[in-house]
Amino acid sequence: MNQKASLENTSRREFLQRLSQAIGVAAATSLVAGSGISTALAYTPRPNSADKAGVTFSQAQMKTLQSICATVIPKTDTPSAADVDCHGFVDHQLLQCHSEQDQKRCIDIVDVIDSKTMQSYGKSFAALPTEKQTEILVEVEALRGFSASQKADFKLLKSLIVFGYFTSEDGVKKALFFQPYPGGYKGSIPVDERTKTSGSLDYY
Amino acid sequence: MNEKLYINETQEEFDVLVVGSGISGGWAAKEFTEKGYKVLMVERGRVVEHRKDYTTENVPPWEFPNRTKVSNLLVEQEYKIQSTSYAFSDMTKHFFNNDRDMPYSTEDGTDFRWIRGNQLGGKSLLWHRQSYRMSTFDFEANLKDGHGNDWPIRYKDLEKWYAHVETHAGISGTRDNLEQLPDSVFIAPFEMNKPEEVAKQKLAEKFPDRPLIIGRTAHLTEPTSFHISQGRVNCQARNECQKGCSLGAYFSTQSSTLPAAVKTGNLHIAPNSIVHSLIYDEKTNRVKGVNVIDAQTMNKREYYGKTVFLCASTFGSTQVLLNSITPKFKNGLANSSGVLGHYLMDHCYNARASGSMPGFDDEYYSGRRPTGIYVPNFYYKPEKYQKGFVRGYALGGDAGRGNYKGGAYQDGIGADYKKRLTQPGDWYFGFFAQGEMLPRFENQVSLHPTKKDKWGMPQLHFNAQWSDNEKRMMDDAAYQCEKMLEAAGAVNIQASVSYDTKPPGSAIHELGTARMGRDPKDSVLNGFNQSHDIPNLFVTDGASFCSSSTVNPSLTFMALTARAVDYCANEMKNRRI
Repeated sequence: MNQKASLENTSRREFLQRLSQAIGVAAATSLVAGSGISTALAYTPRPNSADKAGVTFSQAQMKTLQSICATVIPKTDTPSAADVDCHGFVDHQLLQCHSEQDQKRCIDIVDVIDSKTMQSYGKSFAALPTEKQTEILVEVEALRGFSASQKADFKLLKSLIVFGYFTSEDGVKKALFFQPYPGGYKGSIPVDERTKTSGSLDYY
Repeated sequence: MNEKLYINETQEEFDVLVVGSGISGGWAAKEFTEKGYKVLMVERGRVVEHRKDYTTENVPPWEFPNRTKVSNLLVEQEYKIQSTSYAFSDMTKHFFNNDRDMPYSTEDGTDFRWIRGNQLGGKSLLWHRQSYRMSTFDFEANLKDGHGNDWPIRYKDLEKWYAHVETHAGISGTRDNLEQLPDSVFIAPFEMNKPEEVAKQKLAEKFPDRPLIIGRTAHLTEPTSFHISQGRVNCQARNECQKGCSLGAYFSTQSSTLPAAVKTGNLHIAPNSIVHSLIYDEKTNRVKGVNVIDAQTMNKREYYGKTVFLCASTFGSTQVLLNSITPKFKNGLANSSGVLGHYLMDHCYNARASGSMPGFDDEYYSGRRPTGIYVPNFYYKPEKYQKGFVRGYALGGDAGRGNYKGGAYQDGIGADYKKRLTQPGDWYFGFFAQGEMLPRFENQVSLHPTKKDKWGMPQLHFNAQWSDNEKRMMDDAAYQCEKMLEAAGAVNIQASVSYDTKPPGSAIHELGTARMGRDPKDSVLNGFNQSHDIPNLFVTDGASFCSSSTVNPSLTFMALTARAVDYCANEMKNRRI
């Protein structure tokens, strides 16, 4: 056990002791055990979102979006954005929480990316190898063959993918540092290559 | 539910009716019941029980239907105004009121944001918990520069009551020994992070009159045995406070004042009870009780008490008074002065600046600190006023490292980008201004002549605007924030003002409209928050303020309420009430 982990365990133990003092052992244990447990969900990631039309995107667009998700946040030692169904999430979120204009901008940029790919390579975006997909999305942001307004539309879509990824269970628990009870605030801790930011539980 | 605690119909005459259960109402109930008085707390909203009803606490983002965002349709239909609050989300929306059921109007050409939390505990569940004493200079400001009326009290009158409420509530902070910001009775402060510490030192050289301190906040960093005996434990730095905190780590009615009041056996609570008006007996010149409409059934009922404490929030209390019309008080009860509804204030949070802080790549922090740093008002007396405006502003702010939220908008595709999103990003440092809003007669809330809500209560009508004084103050603040960030070592600084887009009400520090004063001809309440006109009627929430000062007002609500209860109890004992 490294030093950091042992510190955290100690503070957790102390915390539980104090909590038990205040509200009783049974209540304290059930309260803390309750953190992070899964219960019924309203939006549930599905393994097959790209196999049919979504609520915002057509089936063909869902397929392209799925590949965009996998390209923006690919699988590494943690899952990709497509693995956690960010395409399904974005499709759902756009309808629920965004304006019709935002929906249209996202649909348009998915179409633009697919049609440009078709023009250049005679294939759909989803059918291209990973390196080519990455190259195309880099070109969107570099404004090579894409306009500033297309880049802005892509940024909107990308921000939803990123939000969806880092609020998914794997995104929070695996990609970030999941810390439901940080045990207090320390103003200065060492940082290195492996230091991750805290999982998306905070308020703002 | 505790059958003995919650009641509905009763003919009992209580010693005290406390209208409202937020920060002020909770304190009134605690102080009276601990002195042995029988209290009925009348709350318009539903019951929210500590722990049991914090339904979103510990629920992670992926379990919310829209990952903590609220759907368009719901915002449009029910939360159009409430959703402008920083604290509004799918995790907290059940603690905000429904705008469809609780409409209000605004004068043409003006705008107002009225953010409300109508449930047991009120906005004490949602507040930002920043806790600062008002100073000697704050209580003297009106007299010295001629805006508003003179406060009938001074810092010395409130000093021991601040200490009284702080000891119970638990306020974290450092002893800073500043004349413009008196120290509280503190528990341990939150730590500053490295860039904040460095900024503090650098600012001390360049701006010695602008000390940078850690934000003082009602969180149990190191609870005393007294706090633990309340059933509260130390703050875990989750920063998810507004969902409700089962640890009782921040002060709320539920975590702190309510348990104390319940323990006495002298408290009853009437939930879902909207106070329509006060019952007034002209012969004795006393209020006798309240007329209530049941929030759910619309049935009418009455509650009786020897004394009434209005703690219904600034506009809630004023609305009840304005709606209590009698032959003697045709313009609202206790309104012989005619100033009821006038001198409405908020704070002006309409200037900010932020920049990057290079040079701290090897520094990070652990936990999500529920407070920031603070620079108390540095224009706190007339000798320090700037050209173009009177009074001043405090600065809130913090330093932190970026995360995926900012990274989402940066260029990048693929594995490197993904890695960057998971790592601490660049350090930023930001300040925002918390400006004093002058008390002006023209800024007013009144009853709309025709519009009513679904319970038949006349709607409130707001007519409030920022004056040139607040606008010039914010222009100065944006400039000073920039200068101070420069001095702190920040780069790529951006500053802005927002008084054209964020109207009064946005700071959720509504104050005034039933102000205190020495002269019954130009004020509603005396120096003990007691009505000049009707001796057994008190208003101890934000409505009673004569000026806004720059500090967050909740700690002063607590102190004013505790002091008023002490005075009232003494008056009752001596049969003057």
